[in-house]
Amino acid sequence: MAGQPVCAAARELSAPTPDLMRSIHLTMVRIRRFEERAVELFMAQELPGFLHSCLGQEAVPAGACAALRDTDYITSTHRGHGHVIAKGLRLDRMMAELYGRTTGYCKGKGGSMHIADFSKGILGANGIVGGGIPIAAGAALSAKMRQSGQVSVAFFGDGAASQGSFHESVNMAAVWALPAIFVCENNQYAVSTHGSRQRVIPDVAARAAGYGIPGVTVDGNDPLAVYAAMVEAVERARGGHGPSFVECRTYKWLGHYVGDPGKYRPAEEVAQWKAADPLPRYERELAARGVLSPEESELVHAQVAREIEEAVEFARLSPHPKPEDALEDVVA
Amino acid sequence: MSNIFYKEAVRDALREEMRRDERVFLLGLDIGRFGGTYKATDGLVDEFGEERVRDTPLSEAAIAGAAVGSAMTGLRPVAEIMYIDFTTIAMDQIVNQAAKLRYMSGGQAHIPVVFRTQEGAGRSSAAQHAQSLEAWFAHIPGLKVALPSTPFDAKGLLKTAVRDDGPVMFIEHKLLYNSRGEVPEQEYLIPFGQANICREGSDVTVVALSRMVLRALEAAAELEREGISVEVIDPRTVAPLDIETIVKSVEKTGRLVVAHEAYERCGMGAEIATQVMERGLYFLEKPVRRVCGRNVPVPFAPVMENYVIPGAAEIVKAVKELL
Amino acid sequence: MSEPVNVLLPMLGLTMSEGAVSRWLRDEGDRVRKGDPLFEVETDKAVLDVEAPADGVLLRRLVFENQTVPVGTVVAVIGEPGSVIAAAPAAPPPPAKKTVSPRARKLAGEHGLDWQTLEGSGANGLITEDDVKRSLASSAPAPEAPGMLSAHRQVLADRLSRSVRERPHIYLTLTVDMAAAAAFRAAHPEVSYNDLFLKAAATCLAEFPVVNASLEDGRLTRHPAAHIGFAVASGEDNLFVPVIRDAGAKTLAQIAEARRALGEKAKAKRLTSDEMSGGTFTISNLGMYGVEQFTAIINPPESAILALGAVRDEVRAIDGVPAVRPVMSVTLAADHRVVDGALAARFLARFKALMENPEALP
Repeated sequence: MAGQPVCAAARELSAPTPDLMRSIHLTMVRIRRFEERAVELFMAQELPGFLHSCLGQEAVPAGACAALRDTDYITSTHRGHGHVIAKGLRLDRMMAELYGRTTGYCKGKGGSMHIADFSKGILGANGIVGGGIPIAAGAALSAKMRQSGQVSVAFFGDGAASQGSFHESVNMAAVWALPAIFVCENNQYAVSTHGSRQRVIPDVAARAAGYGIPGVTVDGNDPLAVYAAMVEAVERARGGHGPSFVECRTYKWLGHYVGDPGKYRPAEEVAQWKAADPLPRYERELAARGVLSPEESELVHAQVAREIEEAVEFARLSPHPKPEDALEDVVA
Repeated sequence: MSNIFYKEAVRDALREEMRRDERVFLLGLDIGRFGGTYKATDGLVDEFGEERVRDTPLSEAAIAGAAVGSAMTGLRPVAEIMYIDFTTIAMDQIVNQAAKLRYMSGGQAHIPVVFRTQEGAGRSSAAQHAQSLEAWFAHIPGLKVALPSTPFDAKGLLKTAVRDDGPVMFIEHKLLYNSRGEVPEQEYLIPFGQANICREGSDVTVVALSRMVLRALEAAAELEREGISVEVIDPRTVAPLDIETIVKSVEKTGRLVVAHEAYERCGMGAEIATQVMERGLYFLEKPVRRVCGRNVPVPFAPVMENYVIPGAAEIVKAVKELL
Repeated sequence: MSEPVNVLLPMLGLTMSEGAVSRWLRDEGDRVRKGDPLFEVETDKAVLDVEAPADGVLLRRLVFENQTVPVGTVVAVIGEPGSVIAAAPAAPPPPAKKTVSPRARKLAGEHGLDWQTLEGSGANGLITEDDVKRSLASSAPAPEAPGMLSAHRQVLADRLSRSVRERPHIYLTLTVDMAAAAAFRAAHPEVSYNDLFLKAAATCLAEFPVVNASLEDGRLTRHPAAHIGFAVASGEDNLFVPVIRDAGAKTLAQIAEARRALGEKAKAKRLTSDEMSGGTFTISNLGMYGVEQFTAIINPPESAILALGAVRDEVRAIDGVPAVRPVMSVTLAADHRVVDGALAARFLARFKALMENPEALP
């Protein structure tokens, strides 16, 4: 049960339609371009605070959220732009939040690490490693008690899987058979700590067995593999069969935060993963399957480039909060 | 009116609120069949079932987090943390998540969660089971903190806590569960931020928290026999804090004692004294006196525990020193 | 260099024989430089700073505030720490700084009571609310300290007593019709009644020079110019008399300007010694308080003082017909050794004539 790779057949069983596949592609392009632009703006010192880029990891959120409904819940991490874009957030209001403007999703109060939109089931990116996992379990509990049919997804990294909150939440979700899906983006590093120093087991999904729940390890850079695993997990959850664990092996191109040179990673390793860029790889597959031609792909890129520029323009022109706005929204 | 136990007042509040609103549910260790460590939830599982009175695995972080997550998504959980000392394990979910998600999301999140717990010393529970930590939570913007000292206050405040749309730290006292008091039959709520003047007086003001309110009243009775008139005030909630009532009393008496079991250093006494100084320095005849737990972990042996945790005698002494 | 230097209570004014440090400006142990203000002395005229005569550490403060001592008393010693102080202290060492509870201080302030004057019954001499209440309840007027006037009051008291003792006063009163003066004022709004009084008085003094003379120790000195003092109240307790020099040579406008400037300085207690000395005549006006008529005490070494009352409406006979006129009572007090009755009467009549025809003022 531990860490089974998803085979090609399983991928097909999830039967993604061409529309869905193109939608996944669009999401990946949006995440890619948004992250690239955000990095540029950050390095140009237009964005305050920190930026944790998910460049290189786009396939995971794109594939995972494609299996979810609008009303399903997700919690995300400090590296959460991909998750929230994939769950349906607008690029302009996201950019405005990064700029700290009142038009941002959190009115400038949260910033990159805390983007939230409750109308889309996004219960917040979280600045505490592992902080969102218990909350996702709570949302799953709520869904179950209300019998709403919703599922709740906790995105987290391989480092978070060492947190007590992970253990407690997965266990509780298992005991109560909650409609939760625990999605671990294993990009093999927690800041500078390599996975081999984070755990003894090679795959995080091996822990699932310890809680009595199914766990799979998939190629996180293959969006359709991620999608397939999620579809199965969502079915289990919605069917009342309890939580699942989906580990997605992937890699982030930049360091922990933008500006971190990431010297703790061997240069060849980084180069290798960059060469295996999930986006062109997916585009090649879509072209081969006749779902999206290179020309059509170009158009998508161009469209997204325009969206990004509009988003930046929108953000730059948006008003700054008044200083006294800091005093609002503390209590209900 | 009925004369009931404090633990019954807690239970009745929960029962009434669960009947009133089906979104209210309880989770915590041993609160179901077992009825809770201090029997505050005794019998509730029989009426509401195991879905709404949930025994949890031994996981304070997950208990708190599940409460936060379910509160954010339409329910109104009351999570029990068995001892306030164990909130340490749940701190991230209480302090970084529950208290802040509304703010950080720009007002989107509603987190109507109550964290019920209990504190206090007096039965040799030793250092990790006898602390009073209300000051930690009062320190955090976004959290409300209530400490009832009587069954009447417990019921009224807990109902308010459940109906509050934000996170509330509801702190009971382990040695008050079996104290008795009068509670009305008909429904009532006690608002937060409203102190109770338990006893009127004119010579000295004593502000006390939780079980120290009872000690203060004992001290006041003793002092009255010596012709000293003591006004006893129970703030009932330390966040929000009804400083107005306290300052008004100090304006009358000119002398203030603050009494709490919590460690003296950086306890609520420090905050109350400072706020009184800020608003009413020129009402003070003498410096503010604090009668608090000594700055040491609570020891096990009764003779040492009694030395470390103040009682009525310490309040009497402090009052006399101010005259 | 290490010889300690005695600081004496200086004589500030020829008539000063005793005085007090009204406020210490530096504490024992402070390092001071020559010229640093060391303490304040209140005279009947002003509050003056006394400077440190040398560099060094203020080793001892030998008198406490408001303790009257003869001029020339050693009140402080400046030197280097460890040096031996040769002069024996002339008074007991200063008591510890008084403390007061916030509540007591507030109560005292509300009742205009200076808590510094109280003795404290609390720990370490803390002045308590009860101390203040007791002090207020005992209806004795707030004393500075039992039996002690402030330095300022003391000096004033002595002078007034001496004046009455030494100078046989005669008092003459008449009523001035102020209609013309009122009209003049309406036409010249920059000029006040006081300015008119000053100018009129100066004119009279020029015409009756003996009123402008002073008799001291048997010698009569006639002063060529009229330097007129006018009394100004400052705060609750202080009376200052700034002097308009050579009022006779000044125009009305110049008098107005000088009076305004000096009046402000007086209220702020910032008059200099020069501005308060050398007067030859004084005018005192209690009209603003509604007083109709009063007699004043001559300011030594002057020989006369004019006391003015309020301008009030009265029914008078004008050409045999009753009419309502604005009038003012004027009372001249003169030193009968210098000024005899007839002369005083003529002086006063001339004052009245000038006030009833202000256009004629030179």
